[in-house]
Amino acid sequence: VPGDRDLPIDIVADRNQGNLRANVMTYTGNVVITQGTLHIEGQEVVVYRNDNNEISRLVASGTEPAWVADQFDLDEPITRLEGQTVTYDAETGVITAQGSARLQQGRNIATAHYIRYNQETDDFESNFRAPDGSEGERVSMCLTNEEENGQTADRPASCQNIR
Amino acid sequence: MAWRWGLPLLAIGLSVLGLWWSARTTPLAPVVTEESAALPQLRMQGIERVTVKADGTWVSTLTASAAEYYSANDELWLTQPIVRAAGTPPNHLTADTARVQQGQHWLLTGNVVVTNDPDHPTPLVIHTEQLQYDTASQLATTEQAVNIRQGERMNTDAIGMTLNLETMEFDLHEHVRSTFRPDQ
Repeated sequence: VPGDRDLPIDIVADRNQGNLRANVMTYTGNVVITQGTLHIEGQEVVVYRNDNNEISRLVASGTEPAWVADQFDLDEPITRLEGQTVTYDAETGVITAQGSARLQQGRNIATAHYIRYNQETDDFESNFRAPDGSEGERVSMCLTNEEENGQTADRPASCQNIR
Repeated sequence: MAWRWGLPLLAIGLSVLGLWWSARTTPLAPVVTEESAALPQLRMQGIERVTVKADGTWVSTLTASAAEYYSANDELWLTQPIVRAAGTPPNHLTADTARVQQGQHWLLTGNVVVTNDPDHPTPLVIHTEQLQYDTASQLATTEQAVNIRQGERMNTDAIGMTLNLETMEFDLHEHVRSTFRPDQ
């Protein structure tokens, strides 16, 4: 939601390790990160800070899918992006998910090996190949249109196999 | 034949002579009773100890408002110790009291504060109520609540910590809660 990025980032975890002088530290064990409506969860989250001690990037990963959820405007549905590794770039607002990636906004869903979502512009890209060259699941998408009368249509048959 | 017995007898004789001589010249070692072991052998007020390397490079400065030394277990008790230790960057350690065993194993108790890079505009400040610190390994550990703060920007609370005071590698053991504030 606008203004969230000026709010403090809170992190709760079982454990925290790193080097107090370096700008990288790792939180492990049921890690939950919140900043306004932004919500990130993972078994392990590596936090990168810039020289102003501000968080510049968060990389969440874990045995279960790590995920990021956020509501980008008060009248918009929550957007949730999950994957084996989810990266949140706090400076650009870009979120990427890699490995069984899944993006859901309201009832619309996209799945692929790699998904990149830009909070600022609402653009997203999904691909069977990630920038690091790894490949995986092809792109699948399920977009549910609103009916004229505001009723939401049933999910089309093609969406049945979307996870 | 005489040789075969002579040498051992000579050795025994010499050692008996040696024993008699050392017993005669060495003052009787003070008998350590329970009461005397509980009393400090040395009491000092307002101490300052500066440690430097052979080439004169400063290593650390220890000051304390009072100190007591117990020779029975080679233990130094310090009141309001302040340790300034060289390093890149330096560390600054204070506490209400400290017990130092064999000059190496510290147990700091009461308002223990470690400040890394004290001259930095936003130094890293670690606070706990009890800290064990080993000067040989440079490891400081606690099982108590610990708070780490860096200016107004970063604040972390946890239970239990292991910290290498030389490399600043750290491990917060459980119940970690951090807050990072963006630049306003």
